[in-house]
Amino acid sequence: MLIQQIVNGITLGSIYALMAIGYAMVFSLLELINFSHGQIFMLGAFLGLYTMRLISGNFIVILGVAVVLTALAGICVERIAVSPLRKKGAPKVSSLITTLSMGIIIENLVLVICGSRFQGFKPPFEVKYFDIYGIRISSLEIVIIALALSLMVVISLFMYKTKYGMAIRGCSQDIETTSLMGVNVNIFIAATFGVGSMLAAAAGILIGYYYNFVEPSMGAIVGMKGFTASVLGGRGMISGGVLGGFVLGILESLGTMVFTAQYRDTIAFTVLILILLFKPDGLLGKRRDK
Amino acid sequence: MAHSLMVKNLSKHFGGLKAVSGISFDIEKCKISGLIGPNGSGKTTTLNMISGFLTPTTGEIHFKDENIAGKRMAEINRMGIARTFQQIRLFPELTCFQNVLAARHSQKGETWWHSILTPKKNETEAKKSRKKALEILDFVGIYEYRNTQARNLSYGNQRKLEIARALATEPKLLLLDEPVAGMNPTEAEAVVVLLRKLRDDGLTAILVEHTMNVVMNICDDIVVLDMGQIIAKGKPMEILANQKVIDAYLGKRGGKGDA
Amino acid sequence: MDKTKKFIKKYFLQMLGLIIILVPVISGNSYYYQVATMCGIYCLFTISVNLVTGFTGQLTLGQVAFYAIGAYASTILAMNLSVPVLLAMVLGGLIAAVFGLLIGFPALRLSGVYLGIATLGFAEIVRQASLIWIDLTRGPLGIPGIPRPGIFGYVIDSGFDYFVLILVILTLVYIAVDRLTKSKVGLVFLSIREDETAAESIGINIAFYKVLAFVISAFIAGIAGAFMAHFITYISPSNFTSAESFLVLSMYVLGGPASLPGSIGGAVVLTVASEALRFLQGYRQIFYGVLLITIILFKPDGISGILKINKITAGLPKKLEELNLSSKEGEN
Repeated sequence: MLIQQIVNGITLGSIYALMAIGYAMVFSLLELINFSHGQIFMLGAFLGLYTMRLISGNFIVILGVAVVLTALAGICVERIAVSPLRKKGAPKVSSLITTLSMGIIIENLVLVICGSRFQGFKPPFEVKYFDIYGIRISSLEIVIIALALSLMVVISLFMYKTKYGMAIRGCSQDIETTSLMGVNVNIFIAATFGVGSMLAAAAGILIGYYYNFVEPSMGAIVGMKGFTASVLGGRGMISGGVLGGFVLGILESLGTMVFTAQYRDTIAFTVLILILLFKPDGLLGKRRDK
Repeated sequence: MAHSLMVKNLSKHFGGLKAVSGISFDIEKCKISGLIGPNGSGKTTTLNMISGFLTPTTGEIHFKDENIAGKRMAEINRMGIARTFQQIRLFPELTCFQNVLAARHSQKGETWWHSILTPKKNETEAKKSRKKALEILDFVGIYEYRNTQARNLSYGNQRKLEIARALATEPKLLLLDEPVAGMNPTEAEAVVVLLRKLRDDGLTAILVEHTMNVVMNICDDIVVLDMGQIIAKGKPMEILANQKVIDAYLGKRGGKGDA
Repeated sequence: MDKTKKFIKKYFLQMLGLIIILVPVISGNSYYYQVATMCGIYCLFTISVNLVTGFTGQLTLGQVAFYAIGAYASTILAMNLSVPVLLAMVLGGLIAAVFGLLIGFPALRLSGVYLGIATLGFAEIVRQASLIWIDLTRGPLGIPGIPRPGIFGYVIDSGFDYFVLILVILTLVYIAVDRLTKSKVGLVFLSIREDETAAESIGINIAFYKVLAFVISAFIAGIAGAFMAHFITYISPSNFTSAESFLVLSMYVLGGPASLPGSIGGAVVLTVASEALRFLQGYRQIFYGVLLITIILFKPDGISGILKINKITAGLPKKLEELNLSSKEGEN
C-alpha cells in the first residue's frame, strides 16, 4: 500500500514538477511570481479536450495544438500584465495582483464558454495495468512520469546547452546589462513565459487523462501546489522545482494515508506556509546574507 | 578623556569572507571621528555593526557602559545612536516634516488606544513635538521644504533630510555614512558647516567618507581601515603622512584611492 | 463646467454616501436596504485590508480568513452558547483578532509577495477547516437559522434596522481608524510601509506595529463577518472562498491605498456594481479582473488618486497653517 501511494505521489509529483519549472523560470528572470500559471495549466487541458473533439484524437496532435495555443496565451499574460509594470518600475506586488487577475479572467472565460461541469477526458490510448511485485501501475502513470521526465530533460538541455538557453540564464543574472548589450530582452521574457506555459499545457493534458476529467477550477489548486513545489525545492531554480515537485507529490500521498484523503489540499498549503516561514530558500537554496 | 564609544576586537565574517577582522578603536566625546579606507575596507560594515543593522561575529561595542553588540537597531537608537545610510533611505511619500516627525514617535508617550479614544489629550505634547521637528528642519536648512514630499527634493536636500531625521531622535552619537557623496562643493560645504555646529553643541559623530578634503577639514581624529583591519589611527595631519595609508589608497591596490 | 467638476471631485464620496443612505430610505424598498447594508459590510472589510496593506505595507490576500472566523465564532457563540447576538459579534471580532495575533507574528518573517501568498494559504486552510470540522461548523451544509441581533428586547429584523446598525458600526470604526491613522501611530505605520530599515533606525519597534496592524484589521474584518452572519442568517464555507478575497482586493485597489474615503468609495462602487451585474454571472469575475488590471496599470492610486484625496495627513495638525515656526512669521 505504501509503495502504491509513493507511485501515485511520483505521478502527481511529476505534474507539480512541470508546473514548478514554469514558476522557477519566470522567477529567476524577473523575480516575480506568475499567478496565472495555474489557469494556464487548466487552459492547456481544455484546449487538449477541444482539440480532441474538433480536430483529431491523435495524441501528438492534441499535445501539439494545445501546447502551442497555450504558449500564446502565456505570452499574452506577459504582454498585458507583466511587461507594462516592468517598464514602469512598479513594485513587485503589483504584478502579483495583475497576474492573479489574468488568472481569474482566464478561469472565468473558460467557465463562461465551456460551462462549469466536469467534462470527460479520456486518453487516446488504452490504459493497461501492470503488476510489478504487487504494485499496480498503469501504462498511463508510466506515460505521465516518462513524458514529464523527458520534458524536464529537454528543458535542462535547452537551458544549459543551447545558445538561447544560456542567454536566458545570463539575462536572469542581470537584465539591465543584457539589454544594454543590445539583446532584445523582451523576446526572452516572452519566450520564458511561452515555454513555461507549454510545460503547463502538457501537465494539464496529462492530469486530465489521469483523472479522466477537466473542469475550470482545476487550475487554481494545482497552480498553488506547483508554486509550493517551486518554493519547496528552491525558488528560481529549475532543479529545485523538479525536486520540490516530486517531494511534494510524495508528501501529499503519504499524508493522505495518515490523515485521509480529505486533507490532501490542506497538506499542500501547510507545507507552503511552513516552508515560507522556516526555510524560505527551499531545500536546495542557499541562505543569502543581506 | 571621556569616551562615547569603545569598540573591542570587532569582526564580521560572511561565510568565508572576512569583511572586518578584530578591529578596536575608541571614539571621543564631542569630536567628529573619521572612518576612512579604500573601497571594501569594511567601513560601512563597521557602521552597520555599531548601529545594529548587522550582528558582529565577534567583539564588543561599549556605549553608555553597556555592550551593545548584537542588539537590534531600534533598541540601539533608543539608547542614543542614530545613523544615516549610504544609499538614502527616506520615507519618499511623506513630507520632510512628516519624515522628521516620525523620528519623534516615542517622545509623546501616547499609546495607540489613546489616539483612538482620547486624541485631544496629548495636544500640548503633540505641539511640542511638531515645533521641535520644525526647528530641526530649520537648523538643517530645509525648513522651506517642510511640506514637500521627500521624493521631490534635490539629492543634496534629501541627504540633509536624512541627517535631520537622525537628529530628531536626539542621539548622543551620530553615524554618517558618506553624507556628502554625490554633492557639489557648495552643498558639501553646507553639510560641513552643519556638522561643525552640531559638534560644537556637544554631539559626537563618526563619519565614513571618501571625499578627502571634507574628511581632513572636519575630522578631529581618523581611523583608517584596509581589508577589514585598522592600519592607522590619529590626527588628520599624521594620517596624511602615514606611508601605510598612502600605500593602501594608491600603491598596493594599483588603483585610484578616491573612488 | 469646470466648477461642477471641481465640486464633484471634492464631494464625490460625500455624495456617494448620501445616495447610499437616501435611496433606500426614500424608496423604502427592502432590496435597496439590503444592498446598502452589504455596502456597509464591505466598507468595513475593505478598511481592514487597507489598514494592514495600504497603511502598513503588509500585503494580505487572505483577509477573508478573519471575516470567516468572525462569522463562525459569532454564530457558534450565539447559537450554541446563547450569547446575546451583539455581544457575540464583538466576541467574534475579538476571536478574529486573536487569530490576527497568531498570523501577525509569523508574518514578520515574510514580506511582499510571499506574505501575500502565505495569507492566501492561511485563508484556504481556514476554509478547508470549515469544510472538514463538521462537528463545529456543519461543514458544507452550513449553519442556517442564525439569530438576529436584539437590543433591550427589541429585535433587529427589518431592512431599515439592519441598515441603521451597520451605519452605526461603520461610523464608529471609521472614526477610530481615522484617528489612529492620522496620529503618530499612523505615521509609524506609514514609515514602516515606506522603508522598514529606516523606520528601525529611528527607533521604531516594527514588530510591534506590524502585529498591531494585523490584530486591529483582523478585529474589523471579524466584526464585518459576524454582522454578515447575523444579517444573512445563513453561512457556509462557500461564503468564504478566494473569490470573496478577490472581490475585497478589487475594492481595496479601486479605492486606493492608505485612503479611508477611497476604501469607502471602492467598497460602495463594487458592491453596487456586483449587484447590478449579478445577471452577468461568470462575466462578473472577468469584469473585476479587467478592472483590477486597468487600475493597476493606469491609475494605481485608484479612486483616491483620481479624486486627489490621497494626501497623507498623518501627524499633521488640523490646520496646515499651524505648521510654521513663529520665528519665521513674515517669511514665505
